[in-house]
Amino acid sequence: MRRRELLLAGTGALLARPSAAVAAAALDRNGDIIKPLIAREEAAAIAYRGALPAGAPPLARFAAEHAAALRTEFQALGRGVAPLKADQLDPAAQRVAGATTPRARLAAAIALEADLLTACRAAVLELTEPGILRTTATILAGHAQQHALLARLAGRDPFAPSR
Amino acid sequence: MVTRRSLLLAAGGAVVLAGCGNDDEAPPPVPAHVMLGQLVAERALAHELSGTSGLRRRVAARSSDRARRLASAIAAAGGDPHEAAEPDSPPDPGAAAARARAALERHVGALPRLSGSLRALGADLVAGAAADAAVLTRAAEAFPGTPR
Repeated sequence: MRRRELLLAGTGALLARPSAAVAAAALDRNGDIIKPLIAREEAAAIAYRGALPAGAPPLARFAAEHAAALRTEFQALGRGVAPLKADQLDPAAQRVAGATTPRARLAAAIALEADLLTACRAAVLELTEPGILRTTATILAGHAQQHALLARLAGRDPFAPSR
Repeated sequence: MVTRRSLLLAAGGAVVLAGCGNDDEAPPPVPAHVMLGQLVAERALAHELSGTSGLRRRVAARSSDRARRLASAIAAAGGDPHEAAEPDSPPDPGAAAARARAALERHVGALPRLSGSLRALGADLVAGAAADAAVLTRAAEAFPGTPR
């Protein structure tokens, strides 16, 4: 009886080990996918700190909330990443931060939102963990909305393709 | 732990859903079932805006287009798009913003159950419905699309 139990336990452990390893690798991959998105959202939060034309949504706050939500998911995977610094902005965020007129700033913001939308869409296609996928999809929706609102504010077609 | 638990819950939910339905009639495959809910939401949005003009008319056309794409995908996935109920109340443009947000929530919630080309379709539906919700929503209302 004892030998049988030991054999069963051993077999169970052997069967469980590969599936646990596969699940861990899948979760790790999900973390790899959202890690660059955290940096993109933090860069947007920094770039949007300056004034935007009246009527624009509070973009800096939304970007910071997106980054925080992604960070929470990332930390739930047991991982961490240092906050982005102001001199580490990606090119699209740099163009927003460096725009010298409200009109140029609005145009750069529309381009940044289109870029973030594309990045989130690419992530959504690859993510497998349901919670992370829902969070990223919600952020994708946020950027689609912000892109439409900013385009309308600029007198452009709000439904024009973002790319 | 939370992540693993949510994975298990999702898997459990899929098993429960697979077991739903009439014994005499095979339930539609899970992706088709999920997309039927999305189709109902899009049809409701397009319906509320039927007979409108300008930007609202464009939103109605965009929503109808999403509904057509969903109906094709449902049929290709082995489901019957006619199972998605058509609205039977008079159109109410004032309800369109809420309908758009409901459609958006449906599309976001459906994504974990869709894979491959259906996941790509789902991502497009999220982006499209989100833009529509944005132009239909008054500034004073809560801005949708921010994780809670």
